[in-house]
Amino acid sequence: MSSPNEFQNELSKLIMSSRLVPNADLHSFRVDGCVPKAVVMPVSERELSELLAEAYRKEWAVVPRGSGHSLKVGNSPLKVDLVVGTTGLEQSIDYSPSDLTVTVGAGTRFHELQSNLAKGGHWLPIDPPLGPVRTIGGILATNLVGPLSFGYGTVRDYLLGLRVVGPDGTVTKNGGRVVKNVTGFDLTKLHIGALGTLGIILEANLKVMPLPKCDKTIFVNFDRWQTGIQTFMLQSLSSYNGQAVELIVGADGDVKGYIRFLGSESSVAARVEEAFKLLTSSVTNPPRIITEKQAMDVWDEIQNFGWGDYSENGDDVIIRIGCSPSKIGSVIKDMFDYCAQNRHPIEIIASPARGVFKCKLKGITSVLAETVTMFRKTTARFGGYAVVELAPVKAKKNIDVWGDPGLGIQLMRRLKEKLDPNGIFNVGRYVEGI
Amino acid sequence: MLHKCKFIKQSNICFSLIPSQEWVLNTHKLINELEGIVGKSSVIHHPDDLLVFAYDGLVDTGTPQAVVFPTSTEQVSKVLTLANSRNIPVTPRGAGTGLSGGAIAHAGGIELSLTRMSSILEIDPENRTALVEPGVVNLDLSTAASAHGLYFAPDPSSQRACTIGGNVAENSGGPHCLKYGVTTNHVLALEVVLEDGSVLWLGDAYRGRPGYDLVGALVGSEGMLGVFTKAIVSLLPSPESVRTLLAVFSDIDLASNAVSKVIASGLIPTAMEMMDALTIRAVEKAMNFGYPKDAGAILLIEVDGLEVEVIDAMEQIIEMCYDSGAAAVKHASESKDREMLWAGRKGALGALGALAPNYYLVDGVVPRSKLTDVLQKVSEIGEQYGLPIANVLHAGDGNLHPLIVFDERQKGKKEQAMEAGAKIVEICVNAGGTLTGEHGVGLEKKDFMPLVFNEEDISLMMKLKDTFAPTGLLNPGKMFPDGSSCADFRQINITGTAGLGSWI
Repeated sequence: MSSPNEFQNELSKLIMSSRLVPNADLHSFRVDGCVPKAVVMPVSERELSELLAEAYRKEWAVVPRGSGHSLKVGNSPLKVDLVVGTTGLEQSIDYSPSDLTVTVGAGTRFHELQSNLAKGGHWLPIDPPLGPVRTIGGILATNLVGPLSFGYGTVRDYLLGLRVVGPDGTVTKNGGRVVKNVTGFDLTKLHIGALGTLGIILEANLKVMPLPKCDKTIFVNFDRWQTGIQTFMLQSLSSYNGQAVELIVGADGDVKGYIRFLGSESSVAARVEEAFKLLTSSVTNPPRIITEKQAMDVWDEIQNFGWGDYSENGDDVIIRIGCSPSKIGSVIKDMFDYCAQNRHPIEIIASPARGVFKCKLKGITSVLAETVTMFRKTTARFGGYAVVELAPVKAKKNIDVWGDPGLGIQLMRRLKEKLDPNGIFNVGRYVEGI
Repeated sequence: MLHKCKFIKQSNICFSLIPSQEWVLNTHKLINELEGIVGKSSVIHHPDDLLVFAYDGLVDTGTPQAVVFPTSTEQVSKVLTLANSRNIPVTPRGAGTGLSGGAIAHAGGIELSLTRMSSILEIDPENRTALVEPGVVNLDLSTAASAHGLYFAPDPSSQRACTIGGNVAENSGGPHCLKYGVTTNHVLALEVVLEDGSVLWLGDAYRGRPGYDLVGALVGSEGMLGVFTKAIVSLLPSPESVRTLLAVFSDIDLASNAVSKVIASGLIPTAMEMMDALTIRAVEKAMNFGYPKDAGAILLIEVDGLEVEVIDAMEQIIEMCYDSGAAAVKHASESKDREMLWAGRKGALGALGALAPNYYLVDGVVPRSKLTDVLQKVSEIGEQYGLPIANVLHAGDGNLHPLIVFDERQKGKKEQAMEAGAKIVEICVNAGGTLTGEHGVGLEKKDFMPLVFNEEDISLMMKLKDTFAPTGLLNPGKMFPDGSSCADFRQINITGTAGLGSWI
């Protein structure tokens, strides 16, 4: 492959120089330490499409980029020639309140979408880490989810249609802009969480929801891991459930529980009352409602756990673990005991009702591989999985951050070969090196 | 605007309706082999016995050479391996209630009926999931789950007969998907047998495992990518309280207005169903509910949740209905009374059947705010062709089901009905909607696909098909235009009318 200079020369024949990020800034666009040979910010779909067509012919390794926050996700790329950004594309938000749908450009920041929707009394009820500043394309491509996914589902449940540009520059659409649609195969879901390995999302049609009128959070303090937590979890599964139920397990082993109730005044009041009854009879420390400000802070902390204070130079490792909700208590306990024995400080945020929890581990960079192996063994016993969501670049080299994608891997490989035959998108970053 | 497209190759094999040479020469041997796999009593091959399996809810037919009833994943795998080695098409089939021809053995060959794999293998109340075989009847799952205070949300109107496997294949909807979504929102994992007989589990009992969402691509794939032999589906807690309202309006516009008001208020009812004047008169004639004779539209709205919120929501909705000009409003909370309110809607199709010997049921979907305009255009088409068109619609979703009534004994009427149906589909697409909201493409609408998707869009879908089922032996001839007819939309031979015993 050509040197960065030759590479940029070739690019300058294709695209106006104003779309290229200056050489001096390339460093800040690196992907897990790999500095790209060029970074392009196309301003139109046509530019992007023509650029990709050339990249495809020349087999350049392309990394799609939204806000850039999720470039830390996945395995380190095997090769990066070109980073292609979506935020320079003309972004539009076409919102139809009476249809409860919106069409939004992939490079649009999530907070912009939300503030637009709020004017019509709606929202997209998802809360991925660093959500507000990330792009819609990035949110779809990484499918990182937050606490609200318990009550509202994930972005998958709101996606109605997509326009995507493929590796050879072909723009295609799938789905539509209606809430019920069975016209043809559903290809939209394949791009969710695919890390841009099958195409670059250009535009998404989404279903929106009415903004809840009332928002209350109950807090319960547990002294360490105790039986009351089981009741707390059961409560989260009752029909009086909240929209988010989370446990924060601190490094000292103390456990705090939070339940968030969203909806109409009458609905929230009834559910809060019922939750109080249930919890008061089973938990030593009395539950209480926290203030709006406190609640906002705590839900921010949970949503951004591991991401908010992540530093590339630090040694935090964030591992996400999934298993069945009924087994999560045992799995958390096993992880906690293992870390205590090995003196690894561990903090946990758990969403018992979703069957997901995240661990923040410090000082384990040198033993990351064995720690991850142990976590995977433990979770596999319960049919679960463990994904390393964030880790220092150096430590990532010794592990596969994704783990076992299940029996579908051969089909996944075949799909990738069909949709990106020259393998230009995100080389090596996805599952099993896809 | 009509989109012209070149011939799109579906697979390397072209099927005709004539059984393959291989089949004819070796029929006896193959039947024996199939019987060897599933047992003698589980293969039907006598022409008389095959007749009933030539149909689904579409009037178009296609007779298989044999119907096989496997009872295990292993048997399904063996049948597919055999079929694959002999180049024999296989059409998977659930209860055959589909309305787009998805379960018709259009290319002949083997029809693979999954109805004997009908066990609910496990209900896990703690994790709110169920592990089921594909032949489990939709309503049976909810009935079984109700012992744990749970239910399966997708509720196609055929739910007393249709199977979970069929629901997954067609991504079925139902009146209550306004709030809870369609089948794809409730399927977590699938055991699937690929065309070469290989068996694998895709997905997980809980979402979030890394890797492409292959389950998401399989749901709604109309039996063309694989045969589902088990499914893990999610269950929802039964609501504490349900209330149903029936409001009578003098015309469709007023009723649509009420729907808009409810949506704008921020409430999400579980269902918002509408019937037009022709439907109301037919229902009244057949069932005598006492609907006002001059009613122009009836709206059914259902809300669920906690008792307090349901009471609160219902009060608001009643007010909104009266504000929109409702002539009368009835509401009920007891299950028996609610069923009474639903009875007219549920019996609508049967009642409409009495108007004329035949009908063509169209499934179209538009942005909800366009419903009034589109219904106006639908009625103009009815006048233009001199054909009565009744409308039953999932108003909250923008999913309309115009039902074109005709008598095929009158010369040219069937063709006119088909043409009118095609125009309605085109109107839906032009209004920003699409071909089908819940019935599927199947045989019925495969030639309409170019109205929505261009060649590149379709070719990408083909790549998904080639990933899972490269030979094209699974349910061949469905979903994609053959090419011969796709160049000229107006000459297509639209295949079907909804048959007796179908549901909307």
